[in-house]
Amino acid sequence: MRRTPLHASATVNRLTVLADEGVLSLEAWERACAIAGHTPTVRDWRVMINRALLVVGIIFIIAGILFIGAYNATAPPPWVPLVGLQVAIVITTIATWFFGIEGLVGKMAMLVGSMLVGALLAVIGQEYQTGANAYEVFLIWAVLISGWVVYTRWGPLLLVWWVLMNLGLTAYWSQEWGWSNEPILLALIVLNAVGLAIWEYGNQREVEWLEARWIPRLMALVTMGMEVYFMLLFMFSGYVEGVLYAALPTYGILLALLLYGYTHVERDLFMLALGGLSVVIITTAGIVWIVNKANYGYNGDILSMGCLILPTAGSIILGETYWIISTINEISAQWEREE
Amino acid sequence: MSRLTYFFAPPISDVLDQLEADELGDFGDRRSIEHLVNGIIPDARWYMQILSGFGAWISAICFFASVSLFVLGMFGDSEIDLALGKWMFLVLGLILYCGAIYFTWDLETRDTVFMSQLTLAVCLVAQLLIAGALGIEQDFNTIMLVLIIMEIILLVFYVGAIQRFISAGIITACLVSLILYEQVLWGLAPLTIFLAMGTVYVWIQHPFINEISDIRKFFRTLLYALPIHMLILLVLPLTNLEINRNLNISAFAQPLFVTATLLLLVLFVEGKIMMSYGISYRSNLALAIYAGTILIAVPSFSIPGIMGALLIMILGFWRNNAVMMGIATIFLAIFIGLFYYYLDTTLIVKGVTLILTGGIMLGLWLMTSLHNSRQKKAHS
Repeated sequence: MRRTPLHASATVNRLTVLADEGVLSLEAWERACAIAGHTPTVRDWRVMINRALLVVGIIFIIAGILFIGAYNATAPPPWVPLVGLQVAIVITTIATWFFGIEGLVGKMAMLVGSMLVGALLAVIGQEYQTGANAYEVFLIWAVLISGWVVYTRWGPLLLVWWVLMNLGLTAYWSQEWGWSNEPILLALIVLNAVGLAIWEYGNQREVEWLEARWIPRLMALVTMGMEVYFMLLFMFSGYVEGVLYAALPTYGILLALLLYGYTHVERDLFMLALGGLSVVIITTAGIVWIVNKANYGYNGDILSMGCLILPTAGSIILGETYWIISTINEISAQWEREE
Repeated sequence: MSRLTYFFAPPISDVLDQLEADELGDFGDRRSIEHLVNGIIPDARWYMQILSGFGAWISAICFFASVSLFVLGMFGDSEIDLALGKWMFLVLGLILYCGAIYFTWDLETRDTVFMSQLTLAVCLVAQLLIAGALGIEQDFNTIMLVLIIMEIILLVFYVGAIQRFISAGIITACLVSLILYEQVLWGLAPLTIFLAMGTVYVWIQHPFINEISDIRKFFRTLLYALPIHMLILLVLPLTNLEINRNLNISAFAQPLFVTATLLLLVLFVEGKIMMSYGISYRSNLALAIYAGTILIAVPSFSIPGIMGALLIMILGFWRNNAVMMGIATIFLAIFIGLFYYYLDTTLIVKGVTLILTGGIMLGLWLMTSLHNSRQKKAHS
């Protein structure tokens, strides 16, 4: 059957345009929104209130437990928060088992349990003055909840684990090895890029819980963000030595992998836009670097800066952005045609 | 109903068939409708907008910095006349200001994300130039009044959601600045309430304003501008900002008055929504909802933001707007956090209160879950 524009989804935008153009009357527009599912039904309201009560209730209880944990006075004996937190962890585990891991309640209970593990470690550190380093708390926390992360196979919990690993490793390298920022940055870039590659490999193998796109996008955003910062350090730190030499090749490799991978292996426009944005930022920084170098010992000729350098820089950035956007739009149109 | 409806909404043709069956129109001439739908340009993806915006803004800054440096370079060595500089900025600003408005009326400029971002950058630079030129000699009140007039013109004539959003924000900021500058702090509460009433009006009315396309677009901008600026205004008294040694903004927040007015608005909206579902405002369900809302409002009267965020959340869900729901959720979390932060008790009491409140909510959740499953069984 021939696919006409009227086979497109009846989005609010499309229905509103039809109303704007006089095709739909007010009454028809309202009914159309209801037919297309854009107006909540009474059942939708019930579900929303039900979920809001669950989520807010759980957040309140976590916050309450943390407040009691932070209450640093002699009033409660040390065992009170310890026992309280452990009981709470057991309750969340039982709740997960009772409600099942497939539903939101079970998953939320597991998330709460994971947060409580961190609170418990903090209370243990406070009560017994174990002298543990910050990285130990983060890494032990991550290790302790690893089983739950694998068991629940749920994005938000995996994200908590991922943040803990990043924090733990950063603290570990700086405290135990005395690494400065640059080697840690490089190590984190490599680790997060590998993590992203593993996720995408799982996605390609059609592992069901690795199908969500927002987590790899967030991972890519963080990885590219770190890489751009690494490049900025390379350009503006004033001295280039050691691992800083790796900034340019790593950026080149990451960008090439990003562009190739997300056009040929897993089609994702967000990743292409991310790559494009990084190029625009690096080019802008490069122009500032060149202007800075050119102006050194030159006492800043304002007129030549105003007439020559800045308009040239503006034109380069303008042209480059326009080209990147046009290319991404062309790719997008081609993908749409192919699909 | 969820955000997924965007992807899984039925085809337009099915909706039109159903409307015909409901006798809500005759859509025999499908070709012209096809033509209309074909001409709809989809909204650009948000990340493409960021990419376009970044490039357009950086290049615009380069161009305007070059113009400024050129002006400075031309007059830098000579005795630069401040008045001449002021007039140059003013004239340049006005040219760019009018130019930007003119360009937004050009359909092609409006429909290209990159060009519209560039025009926005030009427009904002123009406003800065005009404000800067006025700032050289004029007093504070005059500058604020001129800015308000300038933004009202943009709000009406500039065809662009972001600029209109910014304009509404600048107008609010100017009014707040005038209130603070003139030390008439009682004016903050009426301003907040005005924004809240405006929010309710546009959110209830916007589907019914479809006679003129441009008015509809104007209203769509206010849909976001009014509630967000209201929420920001509700945060302001909580900052404990000191105007001078004896004057603290929190003393003039009038929380009881603002909370009471916002509560009335929430009750009004709830009534309106219930009526749209055919639920009588005298029914047991309606009374339970009203009682629940008042129960939330009474203990939280010191932080009016809780009622404000709740109002936006209800409106957002009613109109199936995930963005407003998200914004309201974030603000609600902030206000609830501040509520417990400002509670004049020890951490242990706060902790126990939170756990008890959470327990009550989970109890209610269990009750509603049981009720829902019972209804489901009854239906099946």
